[in-house]
Amino acid sequence: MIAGAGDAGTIDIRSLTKRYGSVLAVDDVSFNVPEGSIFGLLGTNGAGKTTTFKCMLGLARANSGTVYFGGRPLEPAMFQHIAYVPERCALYDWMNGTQHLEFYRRSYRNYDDARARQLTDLFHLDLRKRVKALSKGQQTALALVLAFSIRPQILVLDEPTSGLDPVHQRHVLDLMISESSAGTTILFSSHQIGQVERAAERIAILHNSKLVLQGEVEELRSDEKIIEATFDSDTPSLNGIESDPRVRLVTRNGRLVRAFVRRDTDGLMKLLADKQPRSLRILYQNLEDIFLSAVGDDINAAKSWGE
Amino acid sequence: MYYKEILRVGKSFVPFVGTLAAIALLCIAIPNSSISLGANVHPQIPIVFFFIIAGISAAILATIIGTSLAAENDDHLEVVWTLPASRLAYALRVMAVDVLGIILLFAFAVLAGLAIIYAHGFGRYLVFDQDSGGQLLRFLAYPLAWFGVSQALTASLRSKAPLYAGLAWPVAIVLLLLYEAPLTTPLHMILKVMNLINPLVYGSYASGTSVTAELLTLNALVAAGALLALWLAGSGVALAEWRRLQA
Repeated sequence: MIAGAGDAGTIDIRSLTKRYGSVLAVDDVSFNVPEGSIFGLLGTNGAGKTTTFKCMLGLARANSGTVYFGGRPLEPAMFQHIAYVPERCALYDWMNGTQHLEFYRRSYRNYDDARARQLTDLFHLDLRKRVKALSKGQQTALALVLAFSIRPQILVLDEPTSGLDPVHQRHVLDLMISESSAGTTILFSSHQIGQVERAAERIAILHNSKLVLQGEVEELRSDEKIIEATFDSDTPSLNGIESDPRVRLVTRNGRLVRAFVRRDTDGLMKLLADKQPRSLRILYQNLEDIFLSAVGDDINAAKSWGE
Repeated sequence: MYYKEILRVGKSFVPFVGTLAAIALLCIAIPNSSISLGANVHPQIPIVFFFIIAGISAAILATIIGTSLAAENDDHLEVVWTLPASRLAYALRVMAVDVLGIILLFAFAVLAGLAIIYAHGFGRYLVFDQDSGGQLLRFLAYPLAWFGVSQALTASLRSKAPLYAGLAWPVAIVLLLLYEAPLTTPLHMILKVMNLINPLVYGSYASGTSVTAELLTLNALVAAGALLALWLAGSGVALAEWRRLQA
């Protein structure tokens, strides 16, 4: 066990900051992952997700901040209970699947061979093949088999469905949900917003190295709304609305105006109604809307999100 | 815990052993009638000769597997640094298996040489003297020194590590040869200092008339001590670099 019962699987990140030379890769990021939950870390490319994972796990040295697993700072022995699947395959090209399983069996006390065989079948992996002969998706699948086979208390997955076909992507999500229900804490990043929406109970959004939004998915969905207004002619001046602290973002597309609003929509509805729109309505946001409103109206961000 | 390391060292070790075994078998297959030990009535075959062959063979293997930490740094840190072991413990484990492979290859090469000699019935000509023990230690330490140098040069590198490790040999030879060149005193001094960390210096013989003789004519035990020091210092530098790395 990482720590005493009750909070063994919690991850607590406080004020994590990481610089590479003059580049600020992670800027004062704090979040908490409760035990047994699934936590999605979202962000555009280069937002700092992978660096956050690396600093968390001691793979890169943070300039400041603290990370606690089960209330304790990371120490090597804890890796008996923590599994990490990086976005880029870190397995050995010259070893085959069977040799990787044997390597893990000898390295981790909780390695479960039956589980490994079951997952190998699920992903249709040929363990006789060397890693260099596997496709990117199969390499990801092998890394996932290894991670799940050590029966970890904490799973950190960086883009765990990268390169997998839709069927196997679904298997990964099902596995995550199943493991979480058994008490495993899962922290993952993904570009697939549908997957995050399906699996994650809580999310944090990183943008330009900073954490810009975090919370429970259901709570965010109910809090975050869009007020959509259509005008007969060109959009009137929206002074006072764009700068309103309740408004996260305002987008304009011809005569269509969308204001991404947090919590209090009534006051904003009144302000917009004063501009005499042809129609005015409230839309409930999905996770994609929440993400886009959090990272701002940044076309590059939107592009990289879609990659 | 040593499984992957044994597989890794085996990848390099097996071809070496195979090659040495093939050469030994070829030598054994040569008919005695076509072998001449010279006109001497009492031919001598110094045992040190086999230590030198074994030392050089193992030194080549040591240079190759001396890039083991660099190989981990080449895209595998996410796996090895999330194993339940400290960075230092893991690196020491890697190095321990490397060293075991080097020693085994050295022993195999010596035994293969002796097998050739005994197969031809020349065992009685083998010469063991009081210096043989020191020379055994010296040439066993020789590949370990190359291992230390290779690790120190490459521990913080990635895919270019084999190139740098391989270049260490020609650089070492050039350093030694330059010492023979008629250079100014300051340059000669600099070369002398640089050659202090050159394993070739401690694993070579020279005649008394050579300029480099002052570097090379070392007592076997002194040379062995210097080579072991190079091994430990090189490994220490490599471990320090390894601990500073970031994935």
